[in-house]
Amino acid sequence: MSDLNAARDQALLRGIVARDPAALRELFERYASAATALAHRIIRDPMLAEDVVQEVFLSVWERPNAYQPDRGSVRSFVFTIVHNRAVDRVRRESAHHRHARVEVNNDGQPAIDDTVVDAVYLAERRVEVRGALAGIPAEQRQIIEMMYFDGMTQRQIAERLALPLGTVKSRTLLGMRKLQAALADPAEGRR
Amino acid sequence: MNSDHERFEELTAAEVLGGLEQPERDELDAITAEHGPDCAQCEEIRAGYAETAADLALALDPMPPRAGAVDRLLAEVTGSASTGPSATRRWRRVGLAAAAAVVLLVAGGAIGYAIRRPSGTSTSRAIGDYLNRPGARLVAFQAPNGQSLAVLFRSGQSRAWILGSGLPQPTGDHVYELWYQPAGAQNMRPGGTFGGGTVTTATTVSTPITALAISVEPHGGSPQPTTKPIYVITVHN
Repeated sequence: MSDLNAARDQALLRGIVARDPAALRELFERYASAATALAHRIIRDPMLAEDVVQEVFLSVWERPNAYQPDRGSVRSFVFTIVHNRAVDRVRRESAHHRHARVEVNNDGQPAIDDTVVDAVYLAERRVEVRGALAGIPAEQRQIIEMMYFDGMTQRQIAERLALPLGTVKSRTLLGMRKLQAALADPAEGRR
Repeated sequence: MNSDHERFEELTAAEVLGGLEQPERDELDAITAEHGPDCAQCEEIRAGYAETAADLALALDPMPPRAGAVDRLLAEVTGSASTGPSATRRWRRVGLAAAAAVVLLVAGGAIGYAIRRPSGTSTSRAIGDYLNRPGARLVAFQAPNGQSLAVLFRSGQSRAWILGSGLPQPTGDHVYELWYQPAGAQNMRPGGTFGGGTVTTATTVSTPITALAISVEPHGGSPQPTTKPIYVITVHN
């Protein structure tokens, strides 16, 4: 992410530490759409996904000092919590129960005001990430996506794909190395 | 990279994706402890892969939260800042058993029974999860002794629960029907039907709610009340 955006995120975290609700609002507006998409992809329930996102931002407000700058960006901090909570949620559910909870959000209305910041701020990075993902071998991409988006462990993936566990592990590492390299140099991912 | 960091990297690359199980997480913790909190190489590997994993979220099409989500969040945090933890926020900090105990107090006993009775079932877990979320409210009707009836809902959420116990079975081919009035609406809207006995019925509503009512309706429910409500309660927001 750009230094400017990272610096802004850090400033927002400092504002949250200082108990400034406006800082929380801006952080929410930056990341809520992407966070909700991630939670929804994992949980497959729009209402529960929104609940997770609300809880995550509430936890950021309550414990902003949990963020450690040397462990990554604020964006990474937020998405990691969203991912962990969403995965925890689905792992507590049986597959049957999980699917039974898929519902239509009757009164859902697009929050146009909340999308503006996301659209401007993250759109470019979104293109880069998709390019990087498309640039790694399909068998590595598949395993990474099953792990991150479906909440599956390496052992579960090995069973599902009838692959040796060692193969899943090596594909994970190779895929993540390539993704990391491509995202560090997005032009690489688009080639 | 030495062999310890190769293994650390392998485990970390999977950990940030959520792909490890407990024995490997324990191994990762052990390596981390062995290297100590100041191991710069561990830090670099961890931060790098955490960024990569977080970037994956951006591969998805953005999904804007419903209108007002940020306002609901801010209402929650500003409310907590000015008044301290609300009862609901305290519920969230305790487990299902304690949350049910709070409900027990609120509803005079029988609702707590309704929640605790199916302990361990998916329904009780779902209700327990719901109770532990920010903004959960339980509005209880003034039911006769031995009966209880309440509606559990959250501002900004459409999922809600009808909870009850000891309710007599409606006579004939009839059911109870919940009615709710969203803020700004002129009329009550149907909020789901249920029978007698112990009730743990999931339903959907539009919030905020300004009034709740229960009437007895023909089997299948009615689009509008056809009988005089047996319970009516105003909800203060």
